[in-house]
Amino acid sequence: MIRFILRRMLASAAILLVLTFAVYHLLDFAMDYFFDLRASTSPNIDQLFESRRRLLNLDTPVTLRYFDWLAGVGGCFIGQCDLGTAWVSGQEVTSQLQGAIANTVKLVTAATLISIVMGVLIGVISALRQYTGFDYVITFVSFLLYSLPVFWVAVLLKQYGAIEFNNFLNNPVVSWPVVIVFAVIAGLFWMGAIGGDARRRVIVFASATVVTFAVTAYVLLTGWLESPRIGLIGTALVSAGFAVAVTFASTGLRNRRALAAALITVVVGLLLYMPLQNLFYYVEMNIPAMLGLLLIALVIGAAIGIALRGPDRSASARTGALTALLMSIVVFCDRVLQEWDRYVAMPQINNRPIATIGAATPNLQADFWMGMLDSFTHLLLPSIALILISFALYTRYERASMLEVMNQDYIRTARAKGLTERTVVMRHGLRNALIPVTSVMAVDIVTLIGGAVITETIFGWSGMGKLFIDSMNRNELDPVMAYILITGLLAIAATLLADFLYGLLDPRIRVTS
Amino acid sequence: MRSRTALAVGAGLTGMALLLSACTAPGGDEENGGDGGAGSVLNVGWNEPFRSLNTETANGNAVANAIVTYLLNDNFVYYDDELELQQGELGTVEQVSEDPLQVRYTFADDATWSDGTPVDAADIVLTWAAKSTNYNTGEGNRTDDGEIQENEGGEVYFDSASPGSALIQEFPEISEDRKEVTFTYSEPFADWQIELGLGADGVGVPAHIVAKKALGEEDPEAAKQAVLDAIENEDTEALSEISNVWNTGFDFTSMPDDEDLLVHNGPYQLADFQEGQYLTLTKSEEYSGPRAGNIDTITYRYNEDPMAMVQAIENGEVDLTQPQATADVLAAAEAIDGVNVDTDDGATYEHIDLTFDNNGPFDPASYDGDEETALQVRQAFLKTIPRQQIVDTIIDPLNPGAVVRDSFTQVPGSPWYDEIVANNGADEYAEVDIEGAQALLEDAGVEAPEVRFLYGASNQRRAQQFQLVKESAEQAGFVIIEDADDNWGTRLGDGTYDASLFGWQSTNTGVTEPDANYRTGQQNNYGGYSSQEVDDILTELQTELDEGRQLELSIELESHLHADAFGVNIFQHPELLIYRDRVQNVSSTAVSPTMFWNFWEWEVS
Repeated sequence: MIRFILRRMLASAAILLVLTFAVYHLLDFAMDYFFDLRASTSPNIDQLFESRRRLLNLDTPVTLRYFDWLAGVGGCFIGQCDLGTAWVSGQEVTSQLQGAIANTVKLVTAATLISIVMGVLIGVISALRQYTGFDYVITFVSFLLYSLPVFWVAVLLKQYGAIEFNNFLNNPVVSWPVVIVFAVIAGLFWMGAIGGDARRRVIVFASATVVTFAVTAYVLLTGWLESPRIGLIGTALVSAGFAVAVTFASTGLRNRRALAAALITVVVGLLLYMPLQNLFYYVEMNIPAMLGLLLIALVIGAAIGIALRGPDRSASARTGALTALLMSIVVFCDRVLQEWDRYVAMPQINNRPIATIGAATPNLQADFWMGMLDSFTHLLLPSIALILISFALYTRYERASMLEVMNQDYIRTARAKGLTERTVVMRHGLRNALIPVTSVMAVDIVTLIGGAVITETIFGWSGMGKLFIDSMNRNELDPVMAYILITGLLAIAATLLADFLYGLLDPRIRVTS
Repeated sequence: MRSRTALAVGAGLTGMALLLSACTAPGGDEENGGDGGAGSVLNVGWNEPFRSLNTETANGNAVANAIVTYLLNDNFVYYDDELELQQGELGTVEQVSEDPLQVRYTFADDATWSDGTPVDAADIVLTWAAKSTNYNTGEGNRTDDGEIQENEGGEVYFDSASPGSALIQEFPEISEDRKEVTFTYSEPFADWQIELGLGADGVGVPAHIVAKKALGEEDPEAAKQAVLDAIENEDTEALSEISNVWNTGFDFTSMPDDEDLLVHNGPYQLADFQEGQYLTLTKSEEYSGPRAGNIDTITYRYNEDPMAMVQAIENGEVDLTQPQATADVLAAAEAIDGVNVDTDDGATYEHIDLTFDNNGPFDPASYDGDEETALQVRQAFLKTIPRQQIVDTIIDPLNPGAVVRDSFTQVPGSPWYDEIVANNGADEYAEVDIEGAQALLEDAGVEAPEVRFLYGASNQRRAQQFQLVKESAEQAGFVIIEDADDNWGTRLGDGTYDASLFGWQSTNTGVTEPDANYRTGQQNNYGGYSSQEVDDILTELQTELDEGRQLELSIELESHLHADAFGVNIFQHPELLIYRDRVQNVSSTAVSPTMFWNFWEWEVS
């Protein structure tokens, strides 16, 4: 394993070297550092050319300049990064990058994760219900989303997701026809997704519609939307739901030990709820502390699974850990939402929590939790814009690859030997269908990081994409190279990750040298 | 085994229950709605981020900077919304003698920088020395894109130029306590009142900080003296260091680590600056003057997309903004409840300039030095420009009642405008005259001259204007080559185009302002226009103190420009001022720093 990683690292370094070498030369060839001087009739044009040449060191051959640049990059290993200067503004590239990277990572992380999970889920269901109304609707919707121009979506999102939503919060007038239509659509969705015979479909449709209507009415009528909370009871309900869902997907509800492990994990989590509130209150939190707590939660969940054993110890442990992960997210969201009332009452927020521009509210004197909430209210719209498009892509890929897998002989064999449909779909179908999507995922993450230019511009996030375009327009080689270097590194990291995921998904693939 | 596991789980649960019972939820009794420690907040939307505290350099001279420095620093005089000069809080300006023209600046006793150092002669003298160009040793090593490189050993180059300051050739007289400075102009200068200490420029950057950075002089008193000595003794070595710091030392694009850069003398201080996102000013504790203002925190939020800004206004993230006026923006803003939209003439005016020195169709050199032919081609081109049509179709919907601007120097509606326009020869180009243009071209014997037409590519309004100009000019036989470029600003004056369409923004109303645009070889004379008569008029205008004669000279100047077919002016940019109801007492003025002119009267509810 370690040899594999080392070999991959060395190969990656070599690829990066070749990549940067080639791109540096190509860019140097393509960029016109004198574009503004070319046709000038200025009397001191010679001096202007000369001073530009001196500024950019153009008398040195391009290959030597490349190695100069490379030496600066090499400095990063000893803590003295020198990625050059953006010559038009005279700013150091390293200082330009700091803000840009942070903003981009914030912007794309959640969007990527959510679109992968949602896309795969819907894609699988769509494939299993091939050629049903549900499948056609999902196909239609995903093509629609895929072809939406992001700048248009962004303006609409701002209008309805921020402005109208904030207006609604300040003046909640419930439009019942809309709620009813929404409930019916949800009912149809669940009916199509769960399927079954006519009687079952009617039951699913009716119950999903009623439940959706009831929940929506509760949310709207009790003022939950103006002051959203999860609370201990909400945490218990949501987590228990997750526990059942995770067990269903992971081992099947027949495995009572796994179900017990998931439920006990939830109970332990609930017992820890109050102590955690105290911890959050008395100790200033930060991201590393959060990750540490998450790790503890995973260990606890896995330990409970192992303690309960059951037919398959690792399956129980996995179920416990997954439940703990989801429950931790619920507890985290609960704590963040507890800030909501204080947050919206802040003069800087002024009861309009959902933001349309920027990455953070200026001058908000916020602790960790409110800072998180503030980030979320700013992330919401750009994330939705990114998710809508990525989600459609994943749905299509996952549907196609799932369909292919489900028509394989071994699936028929698995069914023939009497495995449950769940085992066939989850273990034999999904696992194999995820392999091609993993390759798409690696590429998609890199594209999102580099390509969120329009989203970044409209929502006022100055991230990597904007840095790249601006530098390109100004004929600044160094920031563009820094961009290439970072996206190159990310692409390599993403493919490495994808290789490991292959190994996990397909036992025939061994991650060894 | 099974029972032991159950036992362990049971024990665990009991332990947890005990733990739980010992705790109650913390923070429950906390009051809702923390004050955030911010007091009253105003968010201003702007399209371009701040980049320099020194508004006197060529790079720093931008409205995006002026709207911040105007709040950071006091001044001697400023413009109100009627474009009348008002006295600032820094002290007084007075004329002490007419011949020779002597102007005395007296600093108020309580005028101090925020670090406690008094604001005094050293600061204003440094600004004068830098603007005067009298201390520059060479032409400077300014690259074409506007970047300043380090001056090499001993070279002095201040990246600034102002004709008024250049007329002050002697080192000024400074009182013992440095609270009084008297400058002596070598010639009479009409705009002496606004030459130094105006509006957002204030007295410039703090001299003691410049000296600290340039010369390593820590003590403020000694530092100030060092600056004065360096200027008085023309100590090129010290001035070289000083000019380096002055040119670029006050440029930054995010919150600087260096506390010295935050030194200011006005009612607000820089509190936060996130690159490309926002900049925050808070009330300065050190400030005790009358301009303290009612708003505790003013935040500038940056986004270049005007529609994003309108949506931000609607969502309450921005309270006040001045986006570029387009019909879409206006319609969107007017549709919002609780938001006021004012339209008015802005400070910028649109104009078309021709290039005289690039071997193009308008350059006599293309016709073997035949001035007459080139003039006819220029006149023919200008005759085809559909100015009234442009105003009617593009500007009138935004600013009802907008008129064609016929003057090179005056804003429509200003006191001199009517008289100048009646006599300046603008009627020559009042109507589109295709036949006249064809006749001129025929007369000149020039067939289908190619005109490369430069304008900003992303600017829709300019693209629309270009289309109108193109259609009209092609009827007369011109071949118009579109040169739409977002980098048009850096290309001005490089001779790669024959006609350009862009806007000039007025920063003051002085009669000497046209100097930079029309004098031979001046910075803004991008077309390479050169006329001895115009140069003479501009020289006389600079030194003329009598208003009647100033008017006569202005008319003469404009008549020459029209007769030489320098170019035409089209319209005053309409200006939108969009603000939420919670903001009161906001109004715009046509010169920089625009709507900020009376920030201390602003109120928010």
